[in-house]
Amino acid sequence: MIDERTDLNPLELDPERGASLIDAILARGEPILARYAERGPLVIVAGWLRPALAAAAIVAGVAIGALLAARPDEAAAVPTTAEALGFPGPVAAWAEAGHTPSLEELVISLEEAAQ
Amino acid sequence: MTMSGSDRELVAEALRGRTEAFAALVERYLRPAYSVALARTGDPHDAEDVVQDAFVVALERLAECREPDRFAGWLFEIVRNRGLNYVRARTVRQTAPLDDVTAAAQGGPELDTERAALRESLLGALEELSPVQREVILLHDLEGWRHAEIAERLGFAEGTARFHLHQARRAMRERLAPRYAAENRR
Repeated sequence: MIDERTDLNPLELDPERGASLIDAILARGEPILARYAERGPLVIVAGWLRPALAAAAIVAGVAIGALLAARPDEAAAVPTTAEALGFPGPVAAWAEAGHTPSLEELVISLEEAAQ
Repeated sequence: MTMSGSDRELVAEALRGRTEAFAALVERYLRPAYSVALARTGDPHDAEDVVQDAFVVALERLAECREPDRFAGWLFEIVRNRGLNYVRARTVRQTAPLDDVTAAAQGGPELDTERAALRESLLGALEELSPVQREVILLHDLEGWRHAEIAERLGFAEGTARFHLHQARRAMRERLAPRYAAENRR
């Protein structure tokens, strides 16, 4: 398959007009580049941030929707980590609350467990 | 003085505000971008305005260029969109005026007239092609890009680039045949 090509050179961008075009583009780009130089890496972060925020908003929307759709009694039935590990009631409550029990509280809880 | 380096490096440097890096990108892709703009607008002056606008828009949105290695493809997309807007509203002109240097083209007024007539014929023939065919034939036959480059930057298979070029060349020959026949008779 031999293609005879047409001479398209008359459509070429005139070199002088090309040079003027470059000058015009650079002149218009100058304030933008100056802004980039001032902001530094923040420009790149800003570019990433927009789509990242959009993605986060979608995830949050889906998550909130799923939480609202879930029935409250089902949510209440989910055991805490301490309960799932089989700790006695008071110990599980302290673990969840991040509370350090006193000696007295430990004794009482042991007595209750023994009964 | 402009910089050299990969598109990725130049994009990164331009984002740090380095004029030389942006100038290198402009010099590297001005002519191909002009070809894409010409393919979309069909008018050399509009194509110049489109290219100017597109580079400025590209610089403004440079941080959004996800794949800096494919800067050209991303830029061409902006050129196409701007070109489309220009075709829709040809009267809108917001670009900085260029000095009128075409009149000073080499070869004297006679050659200018002949060249201008030939240019009009070529533009008329290009109009018969699809926008993609116009882009492919201009990038290949005017800019000297290879099929692989065209395929990568326009986002299709190499075979598709070959097919478009073949179709475009055939259509151009058919359209321009009467003109060349008349010239040969002279």
